[in-house]
Amino acid sequence: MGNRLSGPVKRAPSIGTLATVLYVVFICLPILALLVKVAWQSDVLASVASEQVLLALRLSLFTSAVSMLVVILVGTPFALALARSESRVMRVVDQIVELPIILPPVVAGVAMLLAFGRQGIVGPALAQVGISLPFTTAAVVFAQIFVAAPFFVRSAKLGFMAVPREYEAISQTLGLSPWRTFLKLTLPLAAPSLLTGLALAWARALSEFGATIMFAGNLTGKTQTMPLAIMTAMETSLESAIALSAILLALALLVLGTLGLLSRSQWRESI
Amino acid sequence: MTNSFNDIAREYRRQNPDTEVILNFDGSQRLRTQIEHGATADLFASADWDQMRAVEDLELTSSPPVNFASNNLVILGYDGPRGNLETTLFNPATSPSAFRWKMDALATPGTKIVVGQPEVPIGRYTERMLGKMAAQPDLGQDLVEDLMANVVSREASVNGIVQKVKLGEADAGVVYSSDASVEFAEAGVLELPDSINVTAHYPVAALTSAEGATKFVDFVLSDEGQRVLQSYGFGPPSATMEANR
Repeated sequence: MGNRLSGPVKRAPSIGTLATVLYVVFICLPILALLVKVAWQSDVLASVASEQVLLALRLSLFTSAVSMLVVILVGTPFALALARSESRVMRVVDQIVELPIILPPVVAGVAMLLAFGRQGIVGPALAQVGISLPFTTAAVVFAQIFVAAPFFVRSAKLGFMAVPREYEAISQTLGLSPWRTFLKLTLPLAAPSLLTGLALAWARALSEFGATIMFAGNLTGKTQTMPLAIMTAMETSLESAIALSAILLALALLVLGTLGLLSRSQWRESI
Repeated sequence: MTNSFNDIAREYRRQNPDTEVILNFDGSQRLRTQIEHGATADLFASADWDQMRAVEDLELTSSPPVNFASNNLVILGYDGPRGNLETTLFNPATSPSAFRWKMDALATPGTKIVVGQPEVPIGRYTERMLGKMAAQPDLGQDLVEDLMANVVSREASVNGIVQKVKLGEADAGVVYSSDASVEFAEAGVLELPDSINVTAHYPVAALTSAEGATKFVDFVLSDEGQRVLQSYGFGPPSATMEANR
């Protein structure tokens, strides 16, 4: 009996190891190749520290931060509603959430133009009140929210679903208001999932390219984020494009790393 | 270029059924990068000589490049609802005073202009054209600066410019005359006077000694190939090698 069971259990780790090696090599090799190339041409890193790059870096940080603020403020209550509601409508809404992930970003950009552009569905109404979105920094934020929000909402929803409803019920019978219950119980318990989702969404917003170039265009200091600056650099020199990519990679890693650490410490607290 | 080369390749295949022709379209500088990094191509047709020279310098060509087409610049304008340009702007009057009036309309604050980024051929030609415009006494530097202040995006390819004007999000964009030869319902063309226009020369070269490569180059240069190119708005190839600077 024991023998029969020990077979697959013994084999499992070796398959796990193999899969780990495969995965890590596949993901890390291209990134490592990029970094090696940058290291070989260390002088290029200094040469790309131009005003244009600094502007792009600043714009990327600013727009992605604004995007994430909106995503947290709207996405958190939305994710909670998705997690708690059993209505049929919400089940349909749940399917819609992930649509932007399936859509190729360039198509998302065209769709945003068709909605918010001068010829779009709501664009003319916006123009009446003096708002024109395409080719503005606001359009960059719109594009980032559109493509990145699903990553946050999905993860946050799963986090909220994992919080047992009995806990919330007990908390409320103990006299805590629904609002305090959310702040003191639900939110802390779901925090690791929220942070994981935020990290993914932020990284996606930082790397957003297709929807941005379509909806916001490419203008230094106004709509040219890091990915667009990389594309621009690519036209003249692959070397500086690679150096810029390394900067963007470092930025994304910083965001992922920081939020990952926060998320882990939240896990420990919640246990 | 996509449409004309698809047509040329279709005709070539019909005449040479044993030959397989595979076309790969992209911006010239991106194609150059692909070739430099080992893309196996038999032939390279470029929208400018800089990219061709770069490939030639690496000794990746097997025949000297020759011009196969030329192209001029035009301004593609949006002529539809909610645009900033009046329809009268698109009447074909080409007198200097009419052209000045058209440019003043484009230079009015709030007009949205898209151009190519200076790193790509269309952007480089546009800068050259604007340089000539600035040097013209009846046009001048101030006009150019007003026009540049209306630029809302610097696109990476001429397609990006055409799309934004076609969608009616931008009012005007500087493109090649071959891009403007395609009929758009709500777009019009503003011709540029010869005194400020710039001609782009398109070179082609075989990259391998494959028999089909030189044969295809010859076909592009033949009357048949030229007829297709000119039906798409390209000009005849120039005998002088490089674009005017």
